[in-house]
Amino acid sequence: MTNVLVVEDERLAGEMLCQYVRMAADRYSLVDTIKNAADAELFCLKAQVDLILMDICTAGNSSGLDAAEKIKLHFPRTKIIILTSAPDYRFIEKAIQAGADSFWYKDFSEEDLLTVMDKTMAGICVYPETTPSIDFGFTDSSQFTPKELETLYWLVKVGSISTIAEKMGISVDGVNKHIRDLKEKTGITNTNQLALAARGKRLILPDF
Amino acid sequence: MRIKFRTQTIIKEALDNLPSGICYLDSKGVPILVNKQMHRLVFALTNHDIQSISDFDTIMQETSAVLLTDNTVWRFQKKIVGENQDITEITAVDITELYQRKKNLEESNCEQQDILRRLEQAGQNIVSIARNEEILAMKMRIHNELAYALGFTRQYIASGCLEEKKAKYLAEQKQMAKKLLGEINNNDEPHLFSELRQTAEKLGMNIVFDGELPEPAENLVTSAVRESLVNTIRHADGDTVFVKATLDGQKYTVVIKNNGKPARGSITEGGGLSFLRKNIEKNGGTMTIASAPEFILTITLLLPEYQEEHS
Repeated sequence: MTNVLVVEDERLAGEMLCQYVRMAADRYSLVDTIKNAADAELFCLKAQVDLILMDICTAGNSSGLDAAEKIKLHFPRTKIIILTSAPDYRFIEKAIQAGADSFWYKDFSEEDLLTVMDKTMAGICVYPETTPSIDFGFTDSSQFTPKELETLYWLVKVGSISTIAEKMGISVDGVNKHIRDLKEKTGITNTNQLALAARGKRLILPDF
Repeated sequence: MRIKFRTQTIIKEALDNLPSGICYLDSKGVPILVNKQMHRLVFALTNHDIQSISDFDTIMQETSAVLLTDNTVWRFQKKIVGENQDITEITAVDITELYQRKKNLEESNCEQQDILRRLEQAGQNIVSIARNEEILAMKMRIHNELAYALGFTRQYIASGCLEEKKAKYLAEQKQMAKKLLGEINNNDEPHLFSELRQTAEKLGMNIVFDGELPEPAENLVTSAVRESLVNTIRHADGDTVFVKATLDGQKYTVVIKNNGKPARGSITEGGGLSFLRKNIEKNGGTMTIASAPEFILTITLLLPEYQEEHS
């Protein structure tokens, strides 16, 4: 029997995840549901946890990715499936770096969660090939180049053009060019609106 | 003799025509050549003519840039010149425009910082608005589906379903409606500390909290208590964490101990504690760790706004 811990701060989504576990009661048993990713480590220390269904954006701005990295360091045999509905372009890469076993988009993944859980427990890592594309002004997010996405990330995170140039290791003119290109593609004429749109559409969630 | 006098006059006239102030003083600090502009500036600043180098020392005491009553700004500079390095040259350059530009730039930087701060706040708000919109949309979907389901069940029961099944269907529908409507009205507000306490209790751990927990400190205190719980289980083999919180004016101090075994030797800050320290220091607080005779984690935070609201 695989003991499953659900980490999800939104009640209905948490209920849905528990339902998945209950649907396969022959092989999965629910340990508990918690809302804050940082509390998951306590469960691993005191209870038998074999699999964690870990949301990324959890209560108190606690990151499921950070929690996964910490847990994998001390409990490498505990399997972790990262779950999210946010199409942040960095999440898949960050989940790989954190050592998560699989990744499942709540709203976009074609494979159902139970299949991903079974595969993960069988030692098969399941990751989506790409981040889902979202509508962004006149275009969609798949049309942005990696450098444009990076510019957008720093624009949301720090705001100041000179700091962005420093962080990206390019010139101020280079940053301004990426911003101009982003404006041209999206039709958004104001830099601040560009940053707010990226955050509002959860293409970039810099706190996680 | 006449040629020498004439040369001196030419030099003086040339210096007088300079827009900048200039003055040469001998090794004793006595002025030997001063142009009109420098006379004017020193008179405006000291109310008397140049008498010695001490006049300039007074003018340049605090800063090299001096503001005059006519709103012009002058930068004074001192240099030792001459073949024997015994002549002091003092120059005063009009930097009014430069000063004004610098001031404008500083003001504009302040405004920009303010805009960035507001943008950051707007960014935080927009994430929560988008999330709430999503939850609301989901709740509306559930509400609609629930209404359909209830409608169909009602129709089915009314159209003559078996008596013995009626009660069962009604009970099931009631249970589902109660649960889902409960969810719809729930505001999903997390209470970080009480949730950590519940989690700890479920796992056979206790948190004994003495004092108050102001809302602005909840996130950091919860993180510190959580880290202490982890360390108590992992290293001290204990089951209780004691938290003493005191608020003295703006200063909020939290002292955390546990009932586990004391640490052997000094404690090295690993991932969890150093991450906690980073977070606390980022928020203007401090964190100290004592390992002997027992493990004590102390954090202090400044809560000026909370203090103002509650005083």
